[in-house]
Amino acid sequence: MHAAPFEYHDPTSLDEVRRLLDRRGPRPALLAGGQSLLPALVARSSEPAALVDLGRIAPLRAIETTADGELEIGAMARYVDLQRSPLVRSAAPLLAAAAGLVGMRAVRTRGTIGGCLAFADPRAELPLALTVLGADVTVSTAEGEWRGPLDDWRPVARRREGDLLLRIHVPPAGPRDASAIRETAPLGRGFATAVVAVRLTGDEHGAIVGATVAAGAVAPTPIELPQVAAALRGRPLADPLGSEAAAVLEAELSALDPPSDLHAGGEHRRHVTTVLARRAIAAAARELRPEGT
Amino acid sequence: MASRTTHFACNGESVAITVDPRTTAAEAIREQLGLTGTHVACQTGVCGTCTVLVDGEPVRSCLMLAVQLDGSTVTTVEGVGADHADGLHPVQRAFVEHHSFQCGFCAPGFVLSTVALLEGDEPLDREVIRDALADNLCRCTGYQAIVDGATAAAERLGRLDPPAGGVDA
Repeated sequence: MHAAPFEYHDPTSLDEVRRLLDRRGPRPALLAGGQSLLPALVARSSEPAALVDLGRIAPLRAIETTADGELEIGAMARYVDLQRSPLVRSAAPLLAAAAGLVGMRAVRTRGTIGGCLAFADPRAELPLALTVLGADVTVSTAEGEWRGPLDDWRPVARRREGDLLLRIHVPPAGPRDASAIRETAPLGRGFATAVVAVRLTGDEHGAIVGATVAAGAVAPTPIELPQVAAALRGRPLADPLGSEAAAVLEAELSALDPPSDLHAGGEHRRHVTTVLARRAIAAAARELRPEGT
Repeated sequence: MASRTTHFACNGESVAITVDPRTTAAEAIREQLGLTGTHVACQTGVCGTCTVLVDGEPVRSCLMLAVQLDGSTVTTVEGVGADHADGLHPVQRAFVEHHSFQCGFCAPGFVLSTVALLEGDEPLDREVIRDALADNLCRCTGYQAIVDGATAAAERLGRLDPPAGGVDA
């Protein structure tokens, strides 16, 4: 199959992009990495009259840290850029790890963080990592720039038509933070059947003082598991789950209704999510344990 | 819709092609440049038969528009062995020696993916190579001979870490 005909634009400035998004007529589709858009165009599940290619907007590819250590990632940064960036690996190692789990190498060389967040596949790894990390986004809208929590921009109903994701802001990891992401997928790569991400903060006495746990692929967007997180606080790093926190994990996940698809039934998906959560929690805790314990 | 002219380097030569913007890179490489070693199958990025190198990195050419190649350096299976003896890249030679392929439809994709892997700096051993090769699909062989060929090429290029026993340091 071939894509339906479209007008192709490759602007060189954000002002030009804004003009193209705001002009009268049908809204153009934005082309970032093309790894999700092109299959849709070729299958004709999407037939935009115009395509705006963001590939020539250099500032959108930047990865920087601000004066207060916040990581600022341009929407066109590719998965492979996140994997390789020394800034991302030190300030947000969970994000670098999540990027490495995406699809295949030849997809990671083109796909972008902005495209991933805009496409918002429930199984995607980056949105899950950014939920755990408490990321903000800056969005260009017809009314000007908006910055707010990713969770406030995420619901499709709340996004305005003509929104252009510009930057993702990630608070830096603390010195006593550790994180882990675990997934299972057909062929060991590609869209996750189940995926869990965890961030733990430990103290100098070997206890967990902060925890965030979230699961993807079980709901339309990544969901936090606040009861498990609460049960982990105060637990020893040497045995983070224990029987009580493990029971809370089972209970919190049993309240979900994970979807069934050709890769996993809902019950199986829930069970695998539980196993992955245990593994991710154990891995993050192990990283925080003082050496020799 | 209005055609666009795109300029890039392909297998060491400068090319300029004029295309309908909806033309994929894979289609342009095959039909306008006549380089039919790059294949099209799933059109969703899963199978890897369309893999080429763009600026040295592996890319699914079925998931790029031809106009996005502008200004880049492209290597296809026809060009990957150009600077080597008998026109075969060591990866290609190793695949030949290990009888890695049967029908050959997946072969160009595996060649380019393996070349990219071995020319990168990811630490490699047989298990890492085996896992990386799952980025490409083969319906004929069961993969063992492909893993053998790729591992032998890695050894020959000094990319195994630690080196396999018996290799001269």
